[in-house]
Amino acid sequence: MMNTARTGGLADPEGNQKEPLVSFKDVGLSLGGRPILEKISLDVQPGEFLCIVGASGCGKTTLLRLVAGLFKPNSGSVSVAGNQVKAPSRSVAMVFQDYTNALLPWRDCTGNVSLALEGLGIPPAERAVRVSDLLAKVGLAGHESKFPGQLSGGMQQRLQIARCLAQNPSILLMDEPFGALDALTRRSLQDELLRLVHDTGVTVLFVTHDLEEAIYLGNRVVALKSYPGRIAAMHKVDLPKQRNHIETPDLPAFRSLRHELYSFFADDHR
Amino acid sequence: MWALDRTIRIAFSVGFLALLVAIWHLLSVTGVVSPIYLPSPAKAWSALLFEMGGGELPWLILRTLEHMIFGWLLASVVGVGLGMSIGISHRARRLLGPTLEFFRPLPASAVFPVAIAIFGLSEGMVYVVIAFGAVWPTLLATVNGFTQLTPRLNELRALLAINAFDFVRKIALPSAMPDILAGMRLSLTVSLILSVTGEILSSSEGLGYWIMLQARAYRSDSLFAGVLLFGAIGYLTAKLLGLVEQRVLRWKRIY
Amino acid sequence: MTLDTTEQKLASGDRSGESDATSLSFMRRFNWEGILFPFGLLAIAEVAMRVTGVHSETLATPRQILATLIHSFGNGVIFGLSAETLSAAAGGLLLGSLIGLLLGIVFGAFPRVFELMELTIEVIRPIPSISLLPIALLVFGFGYVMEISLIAKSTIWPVMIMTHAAIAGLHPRLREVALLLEMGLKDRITKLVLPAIIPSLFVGFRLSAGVSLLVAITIEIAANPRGLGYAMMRAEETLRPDLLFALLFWVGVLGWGINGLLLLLQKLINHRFGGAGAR
Repeated sequence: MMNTARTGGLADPEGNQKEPLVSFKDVGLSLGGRPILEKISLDVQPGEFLCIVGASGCGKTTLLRLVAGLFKPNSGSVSVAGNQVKAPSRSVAMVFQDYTNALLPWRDCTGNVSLALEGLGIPPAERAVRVSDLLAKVGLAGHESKFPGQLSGGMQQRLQIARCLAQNPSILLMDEPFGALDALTRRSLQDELLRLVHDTGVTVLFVTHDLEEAIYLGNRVVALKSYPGRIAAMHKVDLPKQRNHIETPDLPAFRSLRHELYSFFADDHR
Repeated sequence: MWALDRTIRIAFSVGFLALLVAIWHLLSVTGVVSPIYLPSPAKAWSALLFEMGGGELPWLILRTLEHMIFGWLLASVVGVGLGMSIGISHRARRLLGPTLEFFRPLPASAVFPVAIAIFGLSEGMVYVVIAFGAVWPTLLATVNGFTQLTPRLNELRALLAINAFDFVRKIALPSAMPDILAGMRLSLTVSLILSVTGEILSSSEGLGYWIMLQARAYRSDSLFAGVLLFGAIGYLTAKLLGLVEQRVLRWKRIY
Repeated sequence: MTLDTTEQKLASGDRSGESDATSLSFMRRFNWEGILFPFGLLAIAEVAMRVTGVHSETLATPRQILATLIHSFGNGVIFGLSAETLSAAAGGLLLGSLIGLLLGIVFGAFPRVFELMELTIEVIRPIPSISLLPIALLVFGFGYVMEISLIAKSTIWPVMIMTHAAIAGLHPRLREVALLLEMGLKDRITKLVLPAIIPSLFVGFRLSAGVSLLVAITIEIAANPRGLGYAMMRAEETLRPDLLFALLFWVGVLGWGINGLLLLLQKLINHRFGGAGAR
């Protein structure tokens, strides 16, 4: 299949060729007459952590929204688990950068997470257990009764992640989730995210403009060029599964990939 | 959501209004609503033209405007003047604060009987009530505006060693302007209400009393014409003040 | 078309944004001078009037006024009058708020509809309801319904404006969360929209409440033979300045009390629905 060649013939960790979980086939999108994305063809394997990088305005957020079903492409098709994406669905969760706007200020942490579990016919007792489990998982144990307004930025973002995980999604879309946080919080959340992803096995599409973050977190990095956004480069991240902030950035594979990506984007004067 | 071109938007808005007028016309002409209560728009319009041409109505409109504007101007001057003095002085604010707060929610027209008792049913009485009623929004807004002076501005005053007069003129007043103008807007609304009420009560020359006369004579078309005139007065005066406000507050970016 | 926060705060004495003095003891911080000041003035007036022997048909001494006020409480007259005024105000307030709420929701949810109707609203809104008094008299005659209809007309606008602003101001992020969670319409409204807009709704309601009292009194003074306004006019006509001032004072207390109560409720609502990080 041509797609396989395009994506570099990526196999999952066991080395088996699987059906891609997310598939972009020659997708194009224009908004207000301006072309935002062009000729996007991309396959994401289940269990993959795909990072999408590019300058501001290159359409990376738009890419995520296409998978979420919030946008529809003008040309080509986007499919999840083999079905074309027609509308947003619970199996695709999205973590937004502006966490305050995505949380409900009038509900406490428990209330916010349980929002994702309501209306599904889950008995309240079970729901309560799941909520407190999720909060513990993201490190918010003991803060269950706090309101978002009482939480720090990092904690609010963790709360949002908890709510997204409550959906039991097969795909987690993350739109520059740590962009509004300070460097220290960002680093600890990155590690927590890796742990969570490892525990749940969810497939992640992670958008960021921070090249090092992309290399640190992902198993594949897709670089987008702007105006209009198109896939310009794809790199496999050759790093061990276990990563940490002290040793991993020193590894030669990390440095060489970083070097490549930086020079790639340095050519872009925008 | 399609973004409408501005002219198309206005056209649709006007069109909708025209549609309502047409429905109004139908309701009246077919007698669904008795013409005693609801004259047709055509009738109201011709009554308006007739009365305007007759000589008396323009004069009455002027009188109402006089009541409204003079009362409001007086109230504004007093309100801003007093408000400034009170707002600047911490002692004055503390002393007068609770008393002012009591007067804030007082329905302005409740003052009418007292004014009538003291001044009788005269035009002067109406002016007094308008001025008294319209003072409060401006006064309270001015006090608020001066109270809110950020500590930063006061530090500036100390640093630049400006005297009190200059401080008020160049720093405090412009800073309080948005509040003051908002208060003046409210005062204008109050002033209009009190003018109409006052004219009705005192049978003074003015649009308010004229409307009551039309009602008593069951001249509903003239009555409606008068009501529409009031709407126009309210709308135009508010718009004018809004324009002034925009000009004065050019520096403020209102999001 | 929106009431900006300045106007809201001014119209209702909301001082939640103002800072106060440094941490002094309660005795020093409590504004004794301010509270006692009006009583001081009244005392001076009392003395002055007694000394100069003013005996007029238009003025009464504070003591007389107080006596009459207490007397009116004693014989229940003031309760009856208050009930008449407040019931009309409440009726008009409820009706107007409901209409304003509906309009605000429609305009907020369907901006195209708002664009269509904006001019119409701009034309109708500035018509002072008191100028509609003659028409209301023609249609309804004197009485309760007439008063309510006019009050309703005035109380629509603050609620409508605040509701509209609140809904239009809902962050698009919430909408996206609702979509991603595949929330049904009912859930969206009850769980996302309503809690988000309730604080603003209440501000509109509070402003409308003040308007309702104002219009009620105005109508009773100008025409309607019921309620506190009418009683004041009668007191003036029958040369009872003590009763007149007593009623006037009581109207002030009512206005102040209602506003104060609503401000308190507002604080509670903001606390419950705003959370510490509310807009």
